[in-house]
Amino acid sequence: MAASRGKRSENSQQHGLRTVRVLLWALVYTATWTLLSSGQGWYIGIPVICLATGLSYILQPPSLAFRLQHLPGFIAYFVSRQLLGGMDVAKRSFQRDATSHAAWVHYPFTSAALNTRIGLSALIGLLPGTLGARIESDALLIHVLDERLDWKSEVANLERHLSKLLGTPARTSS
Amino acid sequence: MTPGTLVDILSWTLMAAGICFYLTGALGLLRFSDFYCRLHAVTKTDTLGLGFLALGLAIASGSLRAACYIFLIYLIAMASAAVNGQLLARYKLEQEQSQDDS
Repeated sequence: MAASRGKRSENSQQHGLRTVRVLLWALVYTATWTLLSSGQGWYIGIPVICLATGLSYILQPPSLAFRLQHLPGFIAYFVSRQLLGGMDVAKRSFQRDATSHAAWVHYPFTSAALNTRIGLSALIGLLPGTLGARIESDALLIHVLDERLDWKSEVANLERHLSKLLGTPARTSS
Repeated sequence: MTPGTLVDILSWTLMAAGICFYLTGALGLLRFSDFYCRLHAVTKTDTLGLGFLALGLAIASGSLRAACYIFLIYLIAMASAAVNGQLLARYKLEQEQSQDDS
């Protein structure tokens, strides 16, 4: 009896937390629409905000909370790598056998946090030579433009920076 | 040379760099061997091209408000490019695997 009451209270706490997070998402979507449309076009804005909020409730995206003190370092790192990534592809588009060493590789996550894993799988696509395709259990399936390059350090560096930014420490190996 | 001319030169140079990245992305799209390699071309060069274009436009606008708008639009476009690249790769991979299974 006491156990079932405890479980019920835990469930209602989880439901409350989920509702608060969805309300926060709704606030973010409304603020974004207001900013981008200068407060106009609500006949499109309201359905879009409702749709986005509904999807957030169903899909439950992980928290976007981050540590502000690590943001400048992350931006500097990410922008510099993004610049290299774009230049690398631009250079390859003029080469003859630019994609002859393309391959699929697996990167084992060092972070157990879901938000770090999802962030890594998306952002890795903007870094030099890598494109995240799918999270497979404890590894990320990546398409690399050149398997001879040090793609592992590239991904590990981004994961380390993301873990610091999101406050999710890397998992210690046992 | 007046400061206005310098600002014009800087903003036009940045926008020209952005257009160059778009063009190399289009070239990669035509020349790269398969779907996944072409996704690299589209996501990386287009996002970088948009970054240069946005920076050039923000400087040319001469307004902090407009620059903030452009920056916000760039952030949303960058996030979309990163997520779309991954989703397209995942969709194609699953499609190929289901074709192999059948």
